Amino acid sequence: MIRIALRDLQWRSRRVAIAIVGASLVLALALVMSGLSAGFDNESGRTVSLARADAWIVDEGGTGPFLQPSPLSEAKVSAIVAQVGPEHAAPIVFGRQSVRRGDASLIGEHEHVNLVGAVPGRLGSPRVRSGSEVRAGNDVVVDDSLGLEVGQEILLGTNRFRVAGTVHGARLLAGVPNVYVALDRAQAMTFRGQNLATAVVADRTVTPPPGTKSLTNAEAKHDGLRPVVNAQKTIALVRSLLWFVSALIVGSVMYLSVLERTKDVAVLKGMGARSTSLAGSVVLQASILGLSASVLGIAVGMLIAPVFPLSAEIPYAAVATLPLVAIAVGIIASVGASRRLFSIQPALAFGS
Amino acid sequence: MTLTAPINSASGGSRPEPDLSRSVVAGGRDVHVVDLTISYVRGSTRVVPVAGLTFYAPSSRITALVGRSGSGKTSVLSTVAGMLRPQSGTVWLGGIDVSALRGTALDAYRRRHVGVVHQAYNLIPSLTAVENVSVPLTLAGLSSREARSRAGALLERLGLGDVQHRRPHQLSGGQQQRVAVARALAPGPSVVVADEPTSNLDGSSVEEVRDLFRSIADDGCTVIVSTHDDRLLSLADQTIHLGSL
Repeated sequence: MIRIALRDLQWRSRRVAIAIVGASLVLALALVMSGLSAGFDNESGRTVSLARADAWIVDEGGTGPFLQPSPLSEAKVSAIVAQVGPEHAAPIVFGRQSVRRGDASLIGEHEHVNLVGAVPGRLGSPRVRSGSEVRAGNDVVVDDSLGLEVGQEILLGTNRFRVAGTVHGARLLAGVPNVYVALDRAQAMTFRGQNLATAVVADRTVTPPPGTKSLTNAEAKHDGLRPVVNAQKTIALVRSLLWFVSALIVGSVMYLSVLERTKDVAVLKGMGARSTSLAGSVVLQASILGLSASVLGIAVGMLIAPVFPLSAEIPYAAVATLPLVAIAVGIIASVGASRRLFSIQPALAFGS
Repeated sequence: MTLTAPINSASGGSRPEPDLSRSVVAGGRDVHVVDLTISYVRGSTRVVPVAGLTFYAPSSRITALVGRSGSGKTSVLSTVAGMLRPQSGTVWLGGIDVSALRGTALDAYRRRHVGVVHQAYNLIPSLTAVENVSVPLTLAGLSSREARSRAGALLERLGLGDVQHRRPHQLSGGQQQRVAVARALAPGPSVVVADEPTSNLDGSSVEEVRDLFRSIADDGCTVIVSTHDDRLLSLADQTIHLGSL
């Protein structure tokens, strides 16, 4: 039966190839969808980890450090920092700001950035990939997705900064790059110079003063994901639909194949072939189709992922499981064809 | 020339030879159809092409079924081949009550005891001639290599050695029919049923098929053929008339 199944695929190679290409494109899109969803997760996770903190103390009325934060007063900040010392706790400011090159031209398609203010050299101030950390008041560390070089000038709002260093993957809110400046400059731009903070980050346990609460890194990351939660749900739904479409492609090819081979199947049954063996050959064919489509789909997915404007970070786990999922999709898709196959009577082999 | 050597007489296979010992041998290879009635539903009408048919088809003989279109020739062949369940009556092959077989026993009966030659050859288009002939052998449990070897040898004996690696569409009608006969004979069946085996063939091919069926019968098989072809009818040892002529 295996030989017959393989020969049949060979015999219908053109149709099989079309089905594989079609299904692979759908699977590639599903893979990219996984990458987009993972990209949202990763960017929030990286933004949190760049702060090098274990706890995020925020105002009790806010959801977290990133979205609609209620600022912490100077007194609250001081009370928190005093508990563990400035080496282990530091205020940060998070906000949004327009961005331009030094000559006021647009930086690619980026019009806004996430502005992060931190005390230079303390928690909240990120380690750079190239250049140096923020030292002087007009230094800025930028995410490398902005494509800026160390030494270039940029405008944040109307304030001029010089790129001191770059970090990688520091984005939030669906691909908006982060820029890091000194705390006082961020306060000037966000709170009109008031000595406020959106959060205090700490690398050890602190007792939140009244009116504040302490968040874990996971909770802080979740806060950064809030605006994209619905997008992630939509992506998951679209991905499920794409699985369904790929199953439909494989399933329809298998069903048509069985329909066309009705007489062959009847002849084989007439020779004593068991229906279960014949159904097994259909499942084998569907699995081969699904597996081939997944291999091609992975290649296509890797190829088209960088083209997407949003960061599609295809997880290794998704790549590893895609062939298994595709085989499962193939098997499920072959149910209709197998049912049809079971219903074919051997007596149909007679007649011209 | 023996065309229908039992499959379990082979040697040298990579797997143990399948046990195809035939209980039927004890009772012979004769086919005995007793009071057979076949009916089926076509659209909203119940059709009864065969009612109360009884005949005896001895081994080593060719039995021809003749009758007008719709008289039930194909239905009788299907029933003898274990592909159609009769409404009533029994079909005996030696000691086997074919009409009482179900499920895997029926599959095994088809595998071991029946060879079918179809009017339209019904070769599997994706397989070469030798692969087509190998199919019933692998179904019977032979290894792929052994099955191909035996199929190739059978095709050689039928004068098809040089075309055994061609697909059906690359063969003439006569060659396809001989491959179909080879496929039917490959597992060494007790009975060969053939449905209008010469209807799509030209004169010389009909002669070849005639000779082939004579050889099959001479090897001890029971041959039951439905035909309108006088050239094949003249070969028959007995003729069963179905319906009104």
